[in-house]
Amino acid sequence: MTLYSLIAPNGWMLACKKYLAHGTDLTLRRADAVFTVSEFSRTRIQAIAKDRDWGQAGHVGIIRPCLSNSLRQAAEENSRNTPSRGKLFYIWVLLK
Amino acid sequence: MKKGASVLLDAFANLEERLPESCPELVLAGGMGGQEFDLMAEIRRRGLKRVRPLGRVTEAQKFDLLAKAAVFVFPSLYEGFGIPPLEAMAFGVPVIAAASSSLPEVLGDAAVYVEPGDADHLARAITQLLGDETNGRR
Repeated sequence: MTLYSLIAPNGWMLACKKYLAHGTDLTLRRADAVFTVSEFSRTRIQAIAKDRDWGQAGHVGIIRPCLSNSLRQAAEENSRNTPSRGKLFYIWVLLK
Repeated sequence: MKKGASVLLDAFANLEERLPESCPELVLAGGMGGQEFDLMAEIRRRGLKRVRPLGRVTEAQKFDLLAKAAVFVFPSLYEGFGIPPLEAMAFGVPVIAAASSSLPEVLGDAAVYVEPGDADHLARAITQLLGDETNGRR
């Protein structure tokens, strides 16, 4: 099994359309499963997929990012010692 | 622009004008979402005096800011999810967000929403929440 992910960092909105569509063209046809992070994102994916032959587009699952336990602890204690954590705006995880 | 910084600056200019003595400080943390946007020039152009742009901050700095914040404003016009306002909520900070993209879905009824791009609406929401915050501390 191979794990594919497309992550679009903050500030890439204009680049995202082309980047995600191109990346998806390359990989989605062979994916076993596709996930994203919100209903909004799923709708966007399906809109992009509308005119393409993407068999997976109708079965996009949603994985909700959650706050880490360390952040919860920092919030409770106002601690400044919480480890760094990445910020994900789009996550498409493609499994093969 | 995506992050809505321009709208936020317009709203804050409104606040500085209406609340010359009691206007809070606006701290801008993180990237402003595009190389085409010159944040410092926009602050100067509006004559804003109580804006503190920090640029990107560390996680520890972010948590420190959240712990001290009275209101968290997230006027972003486009998000696939939207973790920062959830982080603010984790610190018990009231959140104002644009009613756009995934934000209403993610934040549910736990945030105050404003029309995307509407600076006047945003200024009114900030004023209202600051008033609530002041009242809550009395």
